[in-house]
Amino acid sequence: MTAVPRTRFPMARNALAELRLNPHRVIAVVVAIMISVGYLTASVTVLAGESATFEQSVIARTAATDVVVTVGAGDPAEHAALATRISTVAGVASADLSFLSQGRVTGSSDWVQQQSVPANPKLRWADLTEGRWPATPGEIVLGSVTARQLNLDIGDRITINDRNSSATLTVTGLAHEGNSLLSGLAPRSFVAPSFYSVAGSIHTSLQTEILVIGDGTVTQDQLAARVTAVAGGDRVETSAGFTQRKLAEKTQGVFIFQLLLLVFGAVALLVGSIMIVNTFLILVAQRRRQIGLLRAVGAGRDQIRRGLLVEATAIGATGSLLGVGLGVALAACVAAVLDGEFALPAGQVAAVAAVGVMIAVLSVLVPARRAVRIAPLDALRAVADPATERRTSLARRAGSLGLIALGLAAIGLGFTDTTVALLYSVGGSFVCAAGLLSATGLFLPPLLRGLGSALRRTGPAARLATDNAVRNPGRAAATGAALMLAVGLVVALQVGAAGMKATADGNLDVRYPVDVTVSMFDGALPARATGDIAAVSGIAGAAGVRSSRVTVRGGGKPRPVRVLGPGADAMAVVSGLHPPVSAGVVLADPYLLDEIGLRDGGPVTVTGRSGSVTLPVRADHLAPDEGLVVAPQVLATLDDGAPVGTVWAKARPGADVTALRSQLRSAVEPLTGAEVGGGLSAKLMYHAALDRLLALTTMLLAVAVLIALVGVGNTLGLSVLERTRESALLRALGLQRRQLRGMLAVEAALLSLSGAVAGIAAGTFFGWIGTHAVSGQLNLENVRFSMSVPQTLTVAAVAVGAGILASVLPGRRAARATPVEALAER
Amino acid sequence: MTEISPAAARDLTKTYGTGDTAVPALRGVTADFGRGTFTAVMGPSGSGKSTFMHCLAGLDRATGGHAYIGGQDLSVLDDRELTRVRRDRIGFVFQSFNLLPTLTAVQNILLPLDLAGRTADPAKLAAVVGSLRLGDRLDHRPAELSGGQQQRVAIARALVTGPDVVFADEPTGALDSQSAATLLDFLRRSCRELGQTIVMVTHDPIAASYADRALLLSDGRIVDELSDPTPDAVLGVMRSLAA
Ligand SMILES: Nc1ncnc2c1ncn2[C@@H]1O[C@H](COP(=O)(O)OP(=O)(O)O)[C@@H](O)[C@H]1O
Ligand SMILES: [Mg+2]
Repeated sequence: MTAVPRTRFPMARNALAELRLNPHRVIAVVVAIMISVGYLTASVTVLAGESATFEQSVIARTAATDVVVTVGAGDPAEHAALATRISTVAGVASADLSFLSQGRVTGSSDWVQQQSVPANPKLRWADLTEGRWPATPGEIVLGSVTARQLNLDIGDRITINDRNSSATLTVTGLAHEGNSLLSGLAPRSFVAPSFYSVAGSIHTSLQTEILVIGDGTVTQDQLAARVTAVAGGDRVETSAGFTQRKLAEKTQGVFIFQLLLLVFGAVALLVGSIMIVNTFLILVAQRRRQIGLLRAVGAGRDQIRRGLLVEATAIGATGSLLGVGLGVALAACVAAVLDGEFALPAGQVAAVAAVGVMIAVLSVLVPARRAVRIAPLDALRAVADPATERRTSLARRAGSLGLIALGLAAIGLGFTDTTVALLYSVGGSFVCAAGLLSATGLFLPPLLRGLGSALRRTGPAARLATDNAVRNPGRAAATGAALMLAVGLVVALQVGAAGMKATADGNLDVRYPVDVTVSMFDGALPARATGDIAAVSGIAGAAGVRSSRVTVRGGGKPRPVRVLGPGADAMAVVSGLHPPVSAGVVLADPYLLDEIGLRDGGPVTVTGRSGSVTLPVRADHLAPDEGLVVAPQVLATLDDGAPVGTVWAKARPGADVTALRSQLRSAVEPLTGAEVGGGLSAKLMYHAALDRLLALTTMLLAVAVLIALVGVGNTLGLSVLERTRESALLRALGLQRRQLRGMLAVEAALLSLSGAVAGIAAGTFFGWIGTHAVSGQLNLENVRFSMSVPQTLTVAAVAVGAGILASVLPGRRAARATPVEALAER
Repeated sequence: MTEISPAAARDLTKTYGTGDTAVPALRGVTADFGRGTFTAVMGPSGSGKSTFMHCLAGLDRATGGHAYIGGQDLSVLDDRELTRVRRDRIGFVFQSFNLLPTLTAVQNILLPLDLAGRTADPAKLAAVVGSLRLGDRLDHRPAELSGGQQQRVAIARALVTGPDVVFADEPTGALDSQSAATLLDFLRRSCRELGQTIVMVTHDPIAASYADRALLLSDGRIVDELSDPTPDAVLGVMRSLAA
């Protein structure tokens, strides 16, 4: 007797055999999961590395320290005395003072942070890349990135000042400054502790600590207890406790970054899962007869479902594994390029991989429901029962339309004057977008037909393509939805950023009307100053402004302030459209107005050296900080001998700011007592921040676009496969190879174009809503709509171009076969 | 010189595969199909009937010998020219899956003309559609047509271009006997009345009896030829081949 082999898991075996026999059908799904998981893995791994780099920089400073005493504000002499007292405590080997201060680089608007490096070599934690540590109060070591930004090198001199004093130092060395995404935000430098005690220096320490090193006879905790006994009211911590507290304070930024990356990861996963659902729906439709046959020979519904789940799990696991490999490799590259730490957060990576498998399994639930509805009789039917590709149900249509209406209503509320406008706008946009996505079945097929009808006239291939594109409305809608989501997000970002920029520009011109100001506190600038500043490359124009010191009297007591009387030449270098200053008004710094208790529009009396006027006052940012602006003839009344004490200058658009600043610095440095101000830095900072954010988010969204395009290619490839016999029939009846390829390309172009068009329309709308909401939140006025047509067209071109490209492979395969091969009965 | 025949084969051979797995499906077939004749190509399953038709109709390339359509040697044509011959000079009716599911019946009928950028002669279209009794089915899609109706639409499509020759591969293979009879009757009529040359592949003796002539294929060779075949005569030859 022969043994009858018995299979334990017939459906699983069948599912896996399916994958082995037809791997190309699911490659796109594997790729989609791989990309999503790879992206998420790279995100968490890069972030872990960044956090490690960041932690190291925080830990490094107190790594050799056992106990840290944070001393409050007070007399430096007392601090020194305390340090001496601590150093005599039993178990203490050394106690050194450490200071932190901030100073403006004189002649510019850049700030630099100074950290004192104790003389104790054990506490010199940073790596010196060049030169030597500062030994005297007149020496400074700059962070390498900071030095590059300031255009300074060893041997150069730098002058820094705060409100009360200034110091000129010589650069003696450069310290390694990791080019991390998170650190290096504050320009850094190192000085000797004695810097804080000499005259002609910065004395205000923002954070003073005493770094205590033990002699190893007691534990950190015991040492801390002993130090507490002599420290009085100051905070004493072990270095472990200290770094923990510092990290907790500083990881806020990391968290936001993490959130951002994860949100985009979720978008990629969403696009991926739309695509996976679509692919499995197609696969189920294609295996209709096969599934019917299985049912006919006795497979139960559960078994059919289980078979699909096994298949999805296998696909998800393969994609996830490949994705983890890809992501880790990417993160390693990033760490190598940024010269940072590489840390593998195993738990998070495992979670991400699990999410990849889960998405695959969840995505197969809907197709599985359709699969179990297939009747045994389907095995015998040549043509699919129309019920297999059912139209969107009425309930679902009503649901999507309801969501859209609800979302629009909320967005409308966001435009009204309410404190939670942002919440309404953002929430409304989400609801509205969800509605739009679920309604793609309603509007994409008509859109496809509309776009196609324009092409119909071009020939039979285009006509056939249009018919093919809409033959499976559900499939076309799902493909379009994925692309619409991806393109929509990119366009929303672009439009939002362009609008924000335009709006911010308008507001910044009002807030910072003058790019660069160089002014004396009192008295005249040297005669050549205006010419010197105008000569700086990157300066488009400069004009001298007469100024004087006056007394202003509003409600309270009189107050001495500066007043400027810009002539027509000076008004010409003001940004935006500022009207000339009328002789019947005094313009005041809005903050000054507040401080002296004056009402906008109320009368103010200004008394100068040679006269006095009483005029209505108006808040205007044209006035310098704590100052006034009047018409030239009014200034002449106030002080008939007012000298040119200020220069206003306008930067050339697109000028290299680093070069501009350093040249400006050298032009201004010889002018003793002159101070540089103006809105250039602030404006550029806003622009740079917006540009960086846009570049970053576009890059992150590119992942979603990529997945959507893989989806278009996949849908197309599978449909071509499914229509092999149709293609063969067409070829037999006289369709040329070229025409067949053209037909598939047109079909792909139509699918991606309709997704792109819908995405651009929705993205533009949501981008504009976003601009409105964020501008409102930031109290910006005159919200402007702006979009870059070339940018948007590029997105559309990329989507359509990639769609056509995706048709090339299936098109070649379809065209290569001879009519007979394809007509053969399978 | 004699009149050029719409279709002819000279020593046509076809071998599938190479080396050990080579299958000689045609071993030198020579035949002429005169204008206005209705020929049935008969033979047991696997005898090479479909292969013969595919090579003769430019759907596949022969391994050796020549196939002529309207005097044109197909073996010298490239794919583009061959496609054009199929489109303009040949009509096809297959056993099943003849129609594009996305097109209506009339769109399917006009597809070859459409591909050629030509418009149909309305009188001819009306005549073909009328005699096939498809008038009220023109705007239906294939899924809404019966098997017999689908095959009639395919025949209308094959005839409407006025091709040199119509090739039909087991056109009645998937039909019930009533529909099959209607279809075969129509084929015979279009041959008699319109002078349409028809080559029909079949293994059914009754179907073959509608033709003027039957060629009998066995093992890739023509082994017999019957004029005005009757089902009994054909059956007799078939039996002898099987024996
Ligand atoms: N694509 C192919 N590859 C290999 N062998 C084939 C192929 N098509 C047909 N054959 C073989 O060629 C022979 C003739 O086939 P065919 O022309 O289809 O016969 P018929 O139509 O008379 O049944 C058979 O032996 C068949 O197995
Ligand atoms: Mg056959």
